[in-house]
Amino acid sequence: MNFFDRRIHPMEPRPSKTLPLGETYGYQVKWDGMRLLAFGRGSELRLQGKSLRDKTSKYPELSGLTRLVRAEEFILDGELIALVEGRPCFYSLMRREHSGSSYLAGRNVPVFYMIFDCLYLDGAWLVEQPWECRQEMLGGALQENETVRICANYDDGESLLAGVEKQNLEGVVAKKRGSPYVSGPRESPYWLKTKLEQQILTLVGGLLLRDQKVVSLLLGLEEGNGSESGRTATLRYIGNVSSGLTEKDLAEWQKWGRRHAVSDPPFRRPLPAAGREVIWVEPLRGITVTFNEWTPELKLRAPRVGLTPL
Amino acid sequence: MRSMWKGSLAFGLVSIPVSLFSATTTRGLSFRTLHIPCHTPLQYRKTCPHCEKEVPPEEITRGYEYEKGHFVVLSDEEIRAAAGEKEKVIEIDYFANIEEIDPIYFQKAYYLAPEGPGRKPYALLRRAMEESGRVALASIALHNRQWPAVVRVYGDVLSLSTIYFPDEVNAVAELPVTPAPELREGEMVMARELIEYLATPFAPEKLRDHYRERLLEIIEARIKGKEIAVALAPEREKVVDLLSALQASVEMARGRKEKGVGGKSKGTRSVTRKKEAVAQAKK
Repeated sequence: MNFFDRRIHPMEPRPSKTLPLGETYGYQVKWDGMRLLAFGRGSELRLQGKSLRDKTSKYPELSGLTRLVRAEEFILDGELIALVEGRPCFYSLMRREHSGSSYLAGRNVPVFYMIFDCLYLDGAWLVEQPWECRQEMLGGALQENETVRICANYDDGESLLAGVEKQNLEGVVAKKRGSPYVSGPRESPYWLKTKLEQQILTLVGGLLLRDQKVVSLLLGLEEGNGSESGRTATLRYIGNVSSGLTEKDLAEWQKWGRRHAVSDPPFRRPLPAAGREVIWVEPLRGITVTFNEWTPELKLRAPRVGLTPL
Repeated sequence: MRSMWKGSLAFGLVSIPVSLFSATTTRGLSFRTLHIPCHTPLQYRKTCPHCEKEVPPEEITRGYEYEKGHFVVLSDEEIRAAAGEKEKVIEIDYFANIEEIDPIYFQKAYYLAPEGPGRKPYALLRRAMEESGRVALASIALHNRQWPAVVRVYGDVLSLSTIYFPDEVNAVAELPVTPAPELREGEMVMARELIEYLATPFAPEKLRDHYRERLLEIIEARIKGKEIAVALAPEREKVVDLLSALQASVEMARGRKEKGVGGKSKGTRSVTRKKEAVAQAKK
């Protein structure tokens, strides 16, 4: 089969609690976005996601990629990210991914393609080549612009992890020097990803009760960036938090909730906590929660308040 | 593409697990209705003129108006149950030749994809249908009703098209058509020649939606105009800013490490966690 029409499972990193250190590894930022392979042939471009689905029409702003690559034929691998206020925002990317119109979506949720590998260039498969060799070929073949970037390589994993933490990014991937590109979906031990916990500011839209007492908070994010001014925002439900809240905190929320209770739930339907007792509140008060990652349903995985140990 | 339905394709004694995907997407432009003085999107509220109040969804049910003002009340569950929507089965009744079905019957097209253990029987059925040249007449419950359907080979997959019941196709007899006038041979020759002159193979890629293009042009121009007019338009997101901030943070961390000053004293908890992560790895 022609390289252009191949369906390729991108190489998957193996999760690792600790970042392996040493000269045998090169380090890259783990971007919090969507894996994307780009196939180019002449001026033709095909984009393919991790699940092998076609994404070409979803992201028309990448159609110029073929002009940035100094090769007639190529397969590149990278992560597509969305930025909101200068930070990668997986949530916005997924909202765009699931929205129908790609035409105007690009204006509201700009995406960036962070490219980190190169599988094929002008008739030659590079998957057997050592990692650092592929990095060199990628650097030589691709011209960066505003939207398309090459992921920088770092020798010092410890400093990169510190920088990633400081910038509140998702994590670091350690890539074994000399290793080939091993197609997924099985995780390869050549690539090891270490994720940091993430934080997000959410709005509280409801208080979940058990035996008349608040036991957890229903969290939401504003729909439509709150741009429709003059009206109270509708919230999209993203999960419950109770971990990290003391009895005193909960009692305080209950007192606050009584003052700001509303009969009309602020969440978009279907309502969360169906069949349970809930005090709906005006979404006026925010709370920063720490979480591990977004679930595919766009809910927070393991949310907790403050800096509670896992 | 997301599957909209998972179930099975039942064929004699065989039941093939399949998922259903929409085969077509209508690309119209949708507009919201605005209030002219303030351009606020209008909201639709369901109100009850009898109780004079807005009605929440849990107070809404369905009624069949069997006589003006008289209703038989049916719940959504009852309607779904009657359609057999819980069953999730595409039942094949018999096989026919596609020429026997006039295109006027076709309603909406879907793709069927095999699920897990269904791959083999699915491939068998697809191949056998391809070789026989026949299509399957089936039925499926979708969108609160029962549909007759045609399952046929489309490329490498099976497709399913819901079709109308015969009483849903309006009778031609209802058209205001007068008896056919007499046709002269000379006119017929001309008409046939005209058709042959314009005969070209069907080329779907040449179809263009001029209406949509024109509207998008207008919309684009208005948006651009607005961007110039509004000075405080949000700046476009830039990834370079983030990348240089990251670079600065990494260099700072490296500098501190080389000087031997560490985050021992006032590190936040997650920094402590990271230091642990690194320390463990060093062992």
